[in-house]
Amino acid sequence: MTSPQPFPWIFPYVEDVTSGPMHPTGRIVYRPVVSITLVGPEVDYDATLFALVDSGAERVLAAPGVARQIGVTPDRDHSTPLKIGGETRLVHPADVTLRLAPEPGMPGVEWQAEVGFFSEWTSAPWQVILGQVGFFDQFTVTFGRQALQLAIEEVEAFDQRYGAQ
Amino acid sequence: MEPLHLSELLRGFEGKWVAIKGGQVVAAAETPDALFKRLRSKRIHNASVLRAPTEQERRAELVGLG
Repeated sequence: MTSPQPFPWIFPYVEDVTSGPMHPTGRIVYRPVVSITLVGPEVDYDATLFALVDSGAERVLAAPGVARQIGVTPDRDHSTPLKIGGETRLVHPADVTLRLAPEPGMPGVEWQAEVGFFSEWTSAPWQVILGQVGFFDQFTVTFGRQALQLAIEEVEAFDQRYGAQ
Repeated sequence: MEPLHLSELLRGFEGKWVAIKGGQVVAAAETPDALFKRLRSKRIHNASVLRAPTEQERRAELVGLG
């Protein structure tokens, strides 16, 4: 596999689907979104999806349909209830290989993470949420709202820049 | 580096599962299973998938999941 281009990788924000004329107040909504590939255990079983980079989420979450596409069976014997918008939803874990590249199709980096697959998830446009454990522990992520871009660097970049506390 | 303008791009695909590559819609289907099957059969690689909300779902701003 060819080596990926050096960090930082810069990703432009994505205009939310509910935005502009479709937004209740007409405003433009931008989201920090990257294309992420979830790789299943079998050859050719992978899926690339737009994923919301969510620093407020504790873990990596995905829709149940994604598990089917990559041939992964979430562990039904272990479930974690999550409170979302006042409602409780269950997620079931599965170990998945995640792949991030500076652009789809370019060489990227891969790592293993536990992904929580929802038992039900119907209406959200983003089928993957990239949270603290499984994503933010792999990279240094900088959000630039003014630039409408996010930067992803090696995980050590934070300590190199600010010093380990 | 311009943001991807999804609201324009997904007009007409409300409620469908959509694959985007190079800033263009390259495939759409009613279900994720059908969409990924289509992508594989057409050998379309490196397209990114999302679900386009319905008109009704677009009336509320997304805060988180659900």
